[in-house]
Amino acid sequence: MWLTLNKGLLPDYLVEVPFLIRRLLVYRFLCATLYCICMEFGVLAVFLLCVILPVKGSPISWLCYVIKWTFFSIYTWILILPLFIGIGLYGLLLCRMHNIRPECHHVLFDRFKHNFLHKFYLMCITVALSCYTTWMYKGYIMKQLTRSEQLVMKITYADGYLMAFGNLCGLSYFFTQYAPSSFKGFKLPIASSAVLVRILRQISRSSLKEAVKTTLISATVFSQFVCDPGHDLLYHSWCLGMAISIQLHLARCIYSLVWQEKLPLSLQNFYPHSANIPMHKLLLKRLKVWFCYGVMLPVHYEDVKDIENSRKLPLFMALDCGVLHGFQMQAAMEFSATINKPIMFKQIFNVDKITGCRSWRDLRNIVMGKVNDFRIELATLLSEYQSEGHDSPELTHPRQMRSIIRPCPETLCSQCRQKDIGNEDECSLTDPQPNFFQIYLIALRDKLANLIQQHWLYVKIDAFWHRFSGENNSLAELNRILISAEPLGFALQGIVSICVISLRKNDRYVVWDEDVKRIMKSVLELTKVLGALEDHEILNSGKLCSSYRLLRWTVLGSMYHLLSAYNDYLEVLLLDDWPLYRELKKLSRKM
Amino acid sequence: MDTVLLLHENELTCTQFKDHANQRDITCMAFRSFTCFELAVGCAAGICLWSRNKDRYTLRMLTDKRHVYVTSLAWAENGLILISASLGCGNIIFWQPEMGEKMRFLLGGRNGFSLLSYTPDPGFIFYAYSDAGASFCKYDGMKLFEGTNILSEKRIQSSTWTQCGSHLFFVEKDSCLLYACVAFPDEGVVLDPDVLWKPQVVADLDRVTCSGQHRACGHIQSIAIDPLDIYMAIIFKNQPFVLICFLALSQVLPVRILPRNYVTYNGNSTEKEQVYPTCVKFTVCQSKPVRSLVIAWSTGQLQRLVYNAQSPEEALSRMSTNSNLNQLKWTNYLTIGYGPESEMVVFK
Repeated sequence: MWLTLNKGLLPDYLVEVPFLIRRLLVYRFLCATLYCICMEFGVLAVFLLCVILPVKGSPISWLCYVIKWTFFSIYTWILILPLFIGIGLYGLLLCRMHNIRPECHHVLFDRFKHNFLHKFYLMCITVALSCYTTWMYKGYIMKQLTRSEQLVMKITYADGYLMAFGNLCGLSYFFTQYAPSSFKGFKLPIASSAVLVRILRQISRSSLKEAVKTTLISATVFSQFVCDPGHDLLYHSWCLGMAISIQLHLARCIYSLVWQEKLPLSLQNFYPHSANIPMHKLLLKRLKVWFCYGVMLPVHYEDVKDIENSRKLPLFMALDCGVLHGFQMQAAMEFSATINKPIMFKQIFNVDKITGCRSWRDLRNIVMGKVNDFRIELATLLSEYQSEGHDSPELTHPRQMRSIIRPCPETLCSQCRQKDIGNEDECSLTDPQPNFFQIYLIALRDKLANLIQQHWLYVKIDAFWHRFSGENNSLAELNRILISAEPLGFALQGIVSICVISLRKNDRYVVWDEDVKRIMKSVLELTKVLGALEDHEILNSGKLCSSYRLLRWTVLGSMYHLLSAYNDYLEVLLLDDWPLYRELKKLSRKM
Repeated sequence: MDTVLLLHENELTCTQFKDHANQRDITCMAFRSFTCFELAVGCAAGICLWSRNKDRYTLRMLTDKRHVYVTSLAWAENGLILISASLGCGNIIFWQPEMGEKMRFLLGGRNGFSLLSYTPDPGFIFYAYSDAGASFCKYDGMKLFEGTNILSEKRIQSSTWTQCGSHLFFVEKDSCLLYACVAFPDEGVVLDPDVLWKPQVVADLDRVTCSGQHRACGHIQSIAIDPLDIYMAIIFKNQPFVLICFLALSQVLPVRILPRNYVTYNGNSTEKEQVYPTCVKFTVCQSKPVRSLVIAWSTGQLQRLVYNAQSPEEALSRMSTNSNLNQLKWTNYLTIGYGPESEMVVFK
């Protein structure tokens, strides 16, 4: 169990991913952790200020107190180190969950188990962080309270109260943030220049609400069972609650912002030796350059060049990195968003004297190769399902139950179910003269029907458990393939944008006709397979995930974009491929 | 205003989109680019997203807590993102309907927006507050730059961008002046220059003389610009005609408009009251390279004028255009939009 716990925390992209991407990710992680460390100090400083505020004194004495206890105190430095490690682990867990490959769970129970494990790790980390923070900050509070002799109750009670309060804060944070829905990954934000201020405002508002709620609840509970905490302790515990919740919010926010920052994608494939400089040498170079700039010393040109070049990440590598799902998604979205800029455009068609137009070729090969693989996978899976479906027709409707009361056969009278009467008017039950015995019989029949209904409930629960633990979700594998192919849709849009723009600027940048033909063919076949998927979903009782809609929209959008741009040139383009031309013409007319 | 009518084939047949539970008080609509048929309709509850899938129309609602009474919609990023502004809250929301995400931007924190115009080429958004004033901001794919206020006193009645995205024309409420805004990048030593917007008065349309007639026009109701930036159509409050002008755009010189002719209702007006134009829009037909101006009159009829000129010089030399009035009366119109297959959408 400990081994799996350990393996669960270590990200597997340290092993499978190319060196450049690994370096970029490690650099980003270290940056984010550094910001978090500064944030920790900031939160501690603000907390100390709040603690010292009720004590009479001048603002200068408050400032001295704060600075004394944050930067110039060995006690603080030693205590805060485990907190840094804790925040680092929290960030590591979040980044791993952002980048994890989508998995296929055939049985609902497996998926539940998988999600539960992640949530359990998150809960452990948040509670551990809040526990340690409480323990650390408690020292400052107790020092202040005992010194001012305002404590109305025993110290042990106050101790226990604060510890319990801290843990409660951590738990409430977990339950409000992570319990309702599983954490899928960082959302790609549309960054704005005032984004930090906005985020801070939002976080402080939500922390205030949470802290007040937790304080009130714990104070009422405590005063019921032990004794009245007193307004001093209440104030300090509210400060503590705010500090914990702000810390946890900001940690996640910083990691998400730094991780999702714009990737330094470049379209050049040719790399100088600086690509392989290890992390520590690069950091030293950066520090050296920064120092030289500060002190106005001359800087080595190679150092600057190395730093510049090391920032670039080849686009093909980023799009090809299937292990890191979140990273690949971000790269594909940025590619499709920025491809329209003229600078990027010049870079793609930068004709090397030796190798020809290499950038475009590599990009096209990688993206179209992945698109074709995806299409083949989908097609084989669909054909498997269809062949399976013919063998076992009963499995398609497992939830239908046989009705217990048999329907009345046609020859019997439907009222009394006895006599084989052609004419219902002769049936004795139509005689509307109820006697006591008949009423009793009818009541008994109703009671029996109710009992059967209740038994139905047991039967339903049994069916539900069976579905939960045993039944195969037929579309689970399909959903997994669709989720992991989400970035492909955006990459395809980028490629299609390149083709369309090259048409407009035909005099300077040319995409060869062969390429365009092949791209059109792949996209057309992909649209057909996606259409077949939808038919499959309607026929079977499974449900396709939301990535299907995204993929469908991106792929159809690219098809439409291509067709609307090349509409007049189709005859010239597809001179030798008559069936494809006919299909495309039909599609363009339908669109 | 509960139904969206989609007119096909020169207004001979129509499809109705009704959803009584959700779609009420429609104010605006936008077709999504690069799809066969996806239409976003802004209504009181939020946004209704209609899509067609093999002759079936399905509806999806996009709602947010205080985002009610949506006033303007625009699609961005080739249809990936939908920008919407509402009266209910002081944010404009960027929706990503496929990914199920939305991003909110607090802009000024006031009582809502009455207008939003977006142009994709440089990615500028012009938004007008519902009480007074207007601002610009720039949306660049991944980043949103903070906006600059240009006006803070009057309410904006109507606005439209030129197709090339260089000029924005707008009119204030109860005013005869037509304004234009051009972007001037603040050139200097700065790497990323800020963009300055300078509003200039283009014309005072209180009294206009053209094609031999002198008319008093009065307050401007709304404006529409040709997709090739040659013509501009203006309708006025309580006036039974539409004024067509030539546009003379230039980055350096001030923008000018030249009144060309008046278009009046040429059908049988048997009613005692005068017939007024309610809305006007230039539409483009994809299969044939014609642009037409569609005018919706208060009798419930649509008038279509076809323009064939492809450049300003050609437009200046040619003076006559074909015009035909549709005999079928549909209903009262609110807004016209055009879709990818030259279908038209109007509201009831």
